[in-house]
Amino acid sequence: MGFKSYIKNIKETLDSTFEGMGITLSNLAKRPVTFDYHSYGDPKRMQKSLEKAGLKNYIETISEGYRGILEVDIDTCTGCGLCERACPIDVITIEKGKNEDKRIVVERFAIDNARCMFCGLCSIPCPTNSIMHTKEFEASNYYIENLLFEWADSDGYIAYNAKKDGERERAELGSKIKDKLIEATIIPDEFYPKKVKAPKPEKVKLKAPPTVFGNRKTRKPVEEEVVEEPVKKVVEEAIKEEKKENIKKEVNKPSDISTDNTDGDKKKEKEVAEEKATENKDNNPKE
Amino acid sequence: MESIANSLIQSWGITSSTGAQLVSLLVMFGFASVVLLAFFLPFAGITSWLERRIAGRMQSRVGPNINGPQGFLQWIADGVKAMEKEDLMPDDADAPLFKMAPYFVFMGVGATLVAIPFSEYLVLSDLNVGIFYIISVTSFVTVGILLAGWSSNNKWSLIGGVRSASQMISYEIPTALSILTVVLLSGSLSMQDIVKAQGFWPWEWHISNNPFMIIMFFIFFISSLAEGSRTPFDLPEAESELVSGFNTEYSGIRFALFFLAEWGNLFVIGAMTTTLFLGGWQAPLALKGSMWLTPVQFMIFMTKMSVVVFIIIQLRWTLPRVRVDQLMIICWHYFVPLSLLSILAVTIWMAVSHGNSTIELVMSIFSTAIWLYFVLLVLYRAVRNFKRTDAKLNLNFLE
Repeated sequence: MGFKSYIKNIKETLDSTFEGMGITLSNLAKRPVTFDYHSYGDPKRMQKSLEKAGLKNYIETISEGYRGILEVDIDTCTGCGLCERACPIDVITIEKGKNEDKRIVVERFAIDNARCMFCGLCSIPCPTNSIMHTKEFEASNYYIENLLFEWADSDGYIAYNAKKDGERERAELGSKIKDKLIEATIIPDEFYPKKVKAPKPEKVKLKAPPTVFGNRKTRKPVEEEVVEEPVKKVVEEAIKEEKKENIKKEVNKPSDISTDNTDGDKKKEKEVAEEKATENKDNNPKE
Repeated sequence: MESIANSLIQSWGITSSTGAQLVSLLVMFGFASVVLLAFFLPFAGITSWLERRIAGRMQSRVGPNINGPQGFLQWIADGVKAMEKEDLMPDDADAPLFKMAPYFVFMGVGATLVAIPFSEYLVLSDLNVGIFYIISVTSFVTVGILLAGWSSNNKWSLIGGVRSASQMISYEIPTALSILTVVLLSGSLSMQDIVKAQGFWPWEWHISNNPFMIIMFFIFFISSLAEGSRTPFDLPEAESELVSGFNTEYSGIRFALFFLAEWGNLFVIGAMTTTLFLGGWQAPLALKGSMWLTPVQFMIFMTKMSVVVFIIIQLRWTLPRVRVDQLMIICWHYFVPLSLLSILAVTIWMAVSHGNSTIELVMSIFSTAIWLYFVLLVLYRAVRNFKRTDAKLNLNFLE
């Protein structure tokens, strides 16, 4: 190490350290980019911190390309099932049928958000950008079943066909997800979540149980109801007979398991092959 | 101190001479520990909160702001939480050493407070070997960290402990050499005498005695950072490499003690730098004899100390951690030769300028200008970096 490089090292170290200290000092005079997210449950406080940051909505703080909860615009969904195939962990399930007019009807379009890992692979192959990631991320819920979003109604919806239906534009991203979130009680009150209470069992009016000391006013002992013995006996006998009959039925049943293993295996293989064929037929869009 | 203890004992009615002496020692010890801990613990706690707030601001986020006004009570919450936690110990750990280690670290940092002068009269014990005492007592920290690393029976802890030992042994040399120049200038090892050798105005401080003292200041500051294992020299507890280093296996109050010691160390570094180089508690001469002298001196000392602590915190959030080989290169290739050279230069300068006050004054004003240039450079770069972005000026620190 020569003398020049020795001095140069010292100079560069000092220079870069001072530059770094200048940057950190200058950051002291800037306001934080983040806002008070802890106040999410407290509307007034959150509104204040959002106003300080000059924001209307917490969604604005999220950058472009963020992969949040999936949204499906059923008006532009062609029912091709590409997203279902692309999903590496089978979060999406699509069930299809045919209409009287020979049009594809998507009977079920379910996304299990509890298992979704937000990889974004489903939104890539979608031909109409129907399935996309929104910027919503608040998905915590008291019931995991609520996170299974059914995008198709009970009747299903007719898959979009550009030739027959004409050109359609995708609805604005994030416009449909809010209803789903409200439905799933993730955001019950449009913006701010309230604490979701567990459903209480229906109240059944119970009569006050008879006390040993009887009614307070009269102080008379309450007479216990005595069940007549013959009735009891009859019921017990009937139960015993039923049990015997059940046991007999089980014994008489012919066994389903075939003794020949080779035949059984062949049968199974055939069945599997048939199932695969049918699946492929279903998945292929016929348009 | 001794007079207070003696008066207390007399009021209790103990007359026997040997007993009185023993009790007076105990009372002094207890009184001193209470005073020190009452100062030390809140300081360490508040500094931990302050550091997190400053770090948040420097990284464009908020920091702890929920517990208490502006999150001020966060440190109490953290402490209470740490105390409630179970005190776990690994099965194969060396039990007595494992339990002892945090106290070594804590004691090493806490015992330094005895000799630190807060003002002309506010010092627990003005030892005639004050600075020597502080250097030797801080070695307990090394022992504690090494014990913790060894007794945990964990490879990360052991690596952390050994790193700490090698780091501190290396960096004690430049630290001691830089302290030696101060001792040369003031002619005493006592902390009070070192402060008294300086003055109120910046050109009367030891840092601006001559330009080589600025080099010594940098060397002392950086190597005391390394000794206190602060970033960028926090190799013993490098999170990204060693989980948490020597304190990986610790939990509960013992873990909290390590952290109290770490933030207490901030104060020690700040106080040492202030005392040795930045004029200590020196107040304007006009205040001499007034009743405000002690409070003003205390405030001056604390202000200087806080500035140094702020710079340490700022450095932590500015610089990345150095590598082990870089750490050793910094010490042995740069600091040791430079400090040896500076000692030589300072002694020569002392011999040349001896008794000539005008030359001394000119030289000290010249070197004051040099270090003021560095300060202004950082401020200028802060302004320049601020203007590069289109951010608005916001000095509202209360979020």
